[in-house]
Amino acid sequence: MNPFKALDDMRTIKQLLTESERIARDLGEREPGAEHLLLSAMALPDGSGARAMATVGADADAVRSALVAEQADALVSAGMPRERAEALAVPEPLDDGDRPRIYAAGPTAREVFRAAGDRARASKQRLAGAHVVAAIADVEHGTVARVLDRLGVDRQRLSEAARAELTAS
Amino acid sequence: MCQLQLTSGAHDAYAARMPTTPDDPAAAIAAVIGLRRLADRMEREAVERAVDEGWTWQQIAQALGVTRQAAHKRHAARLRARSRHTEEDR
Repeated sequence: MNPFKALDDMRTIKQLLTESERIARDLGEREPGAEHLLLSAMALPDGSGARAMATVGADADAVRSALVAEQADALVSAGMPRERAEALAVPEPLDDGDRPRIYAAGPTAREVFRAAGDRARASKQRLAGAHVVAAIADVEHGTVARVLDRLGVDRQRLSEAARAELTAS
Repeated sequence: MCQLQLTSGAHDAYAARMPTTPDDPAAAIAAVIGLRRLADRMEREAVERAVDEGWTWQQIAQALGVTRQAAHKRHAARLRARSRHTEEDR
């Protein structure tokens, strides 16, 4: 048992939240969703999140591209001509200046974040990227679920890959 | 009963004009999310233009149909950051 687990977890939580907020803004959104939390988990230095996603053939760039494609298709199915939808789907970074970080994650991100924390606590493990990825694999609906589908991700395999990462560490 | 039929008929007529696939709620909701994202972005750009043209927060809030505080909370920090950057560019 690592005596510094609580401190490590706090650092990981701070990294996850700060980074998901930064990624959301970079993609032009005010509030991080589960999709930004996924990208943030994949960027954690423990590497387990990125490795679990790599097992199903997805890296951060693929997730970002799928997000843009998802937005374009959403606008097309809302009746917009494809060319225009694709131009409008290109994200424009949002600059809120040096606004204090308030960790204002959206409901989908909070739900995944809570589920990831529960997993880590239940297994008495340090919170890692793979806990977030395992929680994401269980999300049924919404942008992140549609992005995984778009990438052809097998949820079962992703879950297993995330679990394997956690037992290996 | 008659009322129900009327409502259902009106709904069908409306649904027929909708571009989304009505029998796939996931796709229909994804389209709504996409429009919301686009609407947020359009709102940011429109508010920036209004501020550039000298609108007050009161006027912007009224046009958006929200309170002055809500309009300020949504847009003020970004606009401050933007005007800082504009000054740096000069």
